[in-house]
Amino acid sequence: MARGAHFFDELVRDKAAMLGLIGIVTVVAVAIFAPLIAPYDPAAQDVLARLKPPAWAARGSVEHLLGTDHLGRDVLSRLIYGSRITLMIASAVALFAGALGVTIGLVSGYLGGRADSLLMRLVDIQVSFPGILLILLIVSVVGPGVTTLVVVLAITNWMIYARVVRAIVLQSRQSAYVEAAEVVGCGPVRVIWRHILPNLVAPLLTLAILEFTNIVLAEAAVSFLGLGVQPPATSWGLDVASGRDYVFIAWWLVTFPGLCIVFTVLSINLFAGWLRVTGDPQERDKRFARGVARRRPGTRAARAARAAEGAKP
Amino acid sequence: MSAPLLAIDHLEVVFDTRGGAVEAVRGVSLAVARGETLGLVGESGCGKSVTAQAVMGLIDPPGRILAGDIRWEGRSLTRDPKGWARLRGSEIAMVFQDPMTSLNPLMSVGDQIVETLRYHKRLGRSAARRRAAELFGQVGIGAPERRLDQLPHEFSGGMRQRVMIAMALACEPKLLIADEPTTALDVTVQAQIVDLLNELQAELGLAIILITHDLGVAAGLCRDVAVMYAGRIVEMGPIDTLFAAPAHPYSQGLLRSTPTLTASERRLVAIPGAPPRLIGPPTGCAFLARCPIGDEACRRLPPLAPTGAGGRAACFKAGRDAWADAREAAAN
Amino acid sequence: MPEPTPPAPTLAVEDLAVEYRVGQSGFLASRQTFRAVEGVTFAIARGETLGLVGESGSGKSTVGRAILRRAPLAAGRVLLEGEDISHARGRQLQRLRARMQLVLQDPYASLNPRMSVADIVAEPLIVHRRVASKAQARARVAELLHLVGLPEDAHTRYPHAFSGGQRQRIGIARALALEPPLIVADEPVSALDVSVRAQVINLMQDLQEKLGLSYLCIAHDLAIVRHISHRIAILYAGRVVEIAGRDAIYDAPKHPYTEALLAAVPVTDPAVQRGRARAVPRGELPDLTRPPPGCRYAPRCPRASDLCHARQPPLEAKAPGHLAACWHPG
Repeated sequence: MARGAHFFDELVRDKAAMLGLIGIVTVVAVAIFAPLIAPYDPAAQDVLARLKPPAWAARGSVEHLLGTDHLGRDVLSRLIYGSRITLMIASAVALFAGALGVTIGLVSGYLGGRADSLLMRLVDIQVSFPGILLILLIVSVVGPGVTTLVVVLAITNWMIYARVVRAIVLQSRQSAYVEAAEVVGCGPVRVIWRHILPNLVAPLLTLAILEFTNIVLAEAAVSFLGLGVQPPATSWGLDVASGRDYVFIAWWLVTFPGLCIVFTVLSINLFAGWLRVTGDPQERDKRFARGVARRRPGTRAARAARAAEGAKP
Repeated sequence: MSAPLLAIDHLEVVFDTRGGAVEAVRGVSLAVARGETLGLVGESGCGKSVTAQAVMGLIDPPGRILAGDIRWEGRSLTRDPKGWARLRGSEIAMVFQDPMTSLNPLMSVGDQIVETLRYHKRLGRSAARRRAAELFGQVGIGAPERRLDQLPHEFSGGMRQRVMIAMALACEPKLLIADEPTTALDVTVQAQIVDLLNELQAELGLAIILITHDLGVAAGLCRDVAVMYAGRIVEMGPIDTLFAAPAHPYSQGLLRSTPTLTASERRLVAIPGAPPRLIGPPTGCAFLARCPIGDEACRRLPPLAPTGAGGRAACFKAGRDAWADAREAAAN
Repeated sequence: MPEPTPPAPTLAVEDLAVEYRVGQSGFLASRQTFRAVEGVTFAIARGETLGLVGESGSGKSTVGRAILRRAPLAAGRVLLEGEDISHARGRQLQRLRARMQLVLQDPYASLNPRMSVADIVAEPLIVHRRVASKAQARARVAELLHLVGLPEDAHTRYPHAFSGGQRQRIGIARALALEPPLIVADEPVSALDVSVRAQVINLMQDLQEKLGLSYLCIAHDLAIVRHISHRIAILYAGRVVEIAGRDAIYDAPKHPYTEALLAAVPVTDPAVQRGRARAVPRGELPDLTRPPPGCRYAPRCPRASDLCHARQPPLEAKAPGHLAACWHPG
């Protein structure tokens, strides 16, 4: 496992990426262990304790650390449980949209010709069609719900995977080793499986992680419109939506779920940036060299001069 | 005695990679006088291109100059980065292997030259354009006025290389560094470019450093030659004597394994093995592992010592015919 | 008693032509086609090497791809050991692949960086079901690696751990795995270092002797193919301009383009190299979408006459076994 250790070593050196990873692990852990952590049932109402501010505010109490909402539900508990649905929906959408997009991208890139034109026009149409309109349409026909939400978000978010995959397939088909494999007599399935798919792993992983943040935001938006997660279930997006009526008298209702979204998205982005560089050998070497330059004994001034002139230290 | 145009002193360049520090150039010293033509020959990874990049001040991270000095007309460049930047592109110009990557594909070649002239030479627009047309004529591009307005992709590979040379000459440099200028070209076009460089050299009194893996190209253009191996110069001297009687086993092997049109042997003499890794390279002679006459003594580093024929070679057994046995075996 | 028929050559190419479309094909734009290669005819006997030499744009790689059935034939026939393969498709084509293999130019790009050497060399064996078990595959790979002079422990390592010359050996081992009678080598050594080229050329010669292989060796310069070829064909702008035995090409070239190619080869003798009078052709390749009516080399040729500009010279024997397409052969 020397290779894994190597990766970890590099990760530890990159503070931003490490923070990102810690953030992701924290959010996931909170989601998994929600029943153990949450002080209250997120749906439990307490009419006597409505709209309590956070503990440190003037009327706040330690019973409700982040305050309560208009039905007296504990905000902290709702955030903790909300992370479950938010993460679940985002992962499911990333998975389904990814699977759909990868399949279409592979077919399009490998077959080329007419199939390619047809599928890419489909992508163009889907991209140019306003996603929210489609969501409205589907939800109003089928009715809201978590499953519907996953399906509609997958339908409106697969195109980027198809485009990225197609571009990589076209590029790897040009590569000499794919030609070599075809001359050897490998059929299309083997060529795709052994020679093209491995090239997709790193970029797709990065893309999926970045898309994940998009989906968290999209889920929030749709739930905010009342078309997504339905009460009594909860998600961060729904919390923001239901808190918006009280934004002037109870700022904490929108602020904390909003911060949760920001925190998650930021963590994921920091980590994804690192992952992208790690997947690119050239970028990775540059990052390594920068690290060496930073650790080398020498004055800050000398380093600045080197950076400016590209000359010797 | 006045200082040479360019002097490189014990230059060392390393590249920091995850696998370790790649010692690309390991103590190269050479000098180029005004109007001199020096061939820097060797195989990929021997450090010849990195040496040229160092002269141009183009070593960027992950690379860095570890030690040594580069002097221009006696002045140290490594201690005067501003002066270095001024020299680059005006007094020292460079031509690269692949002209397409060094030209802006969206800008007419004329505009690209005019821009250079206006920046370095402070010429007006029309004066710069006249000069650009003149340069095109000089490098053998027909109908220069019309071709100035074309985009790089409208030129063939050979013509593009001529454009690059015209651009390099725009500021009347004293030294032209040509990094594999003919490698990407067809053989007949290669010959044209070598002829052109020869003409320009004679006409303008340019000093040229030609970096190439092709000994034949160096033979057609250079008066002096330095053979590099694993980051060091292993042999240098006047090209006629060096090619006629190479003293270092590596130079001998390189010359013998170059296919010719006249050789009578049925088989080529091959140098066995491959160059050493430059991460933690051998401390002694780097060629030892592939050398047919190397022995224990070669575990120490041989100095670059004068040979009888006016050159210098870094070999304890310089001048011995290293490949006699291999040739005999090939003849049978 | 009937005369025994002479064995068919390993490869025979008859009047081969390959067409490419240029420009975008749209609803309104008329599609323009050009013949990258036309009227190419040659044969390669068992155990023989034909050097196919031409500069960029000559169509030399296209010929190689057409023989391997990776470029569509617009006209002509390709016969592999007497069998017409010009129209093989699907399963039949897949089976054919076992009988002709390709060695590519760039040993850095032609090996999948994510596969171990054993997987790379074994791939043809697995695809064509030539091995029944893993152990059998491993044994055959070890045999092949030994054949091309790679160390025993090479099979578990990945391509990046090898030098350019060693990688080309891996590529050759892969090509040899199915024991094909024909190997098309597309510039097999031009991406390699000078000192290593000789190793690979010598290896290819040894293998030919040992296994009776036939090579089509594609190159852009005459010096490289000199040692390996028995006969050499010179291609210019999609047509064969000269084809002859090696010594005849180098010692007594008939076509002015061959002369120019020979004159352009850099030699390592500085005095000779400086003093050479170069018959370097000026100008550029003709536009193949509108080929000139006469000889394609005429616009650049120092010997061109009115006849050359008007009529295409046929490829005919100028000496025994020495064919050239020129009205004014040297």
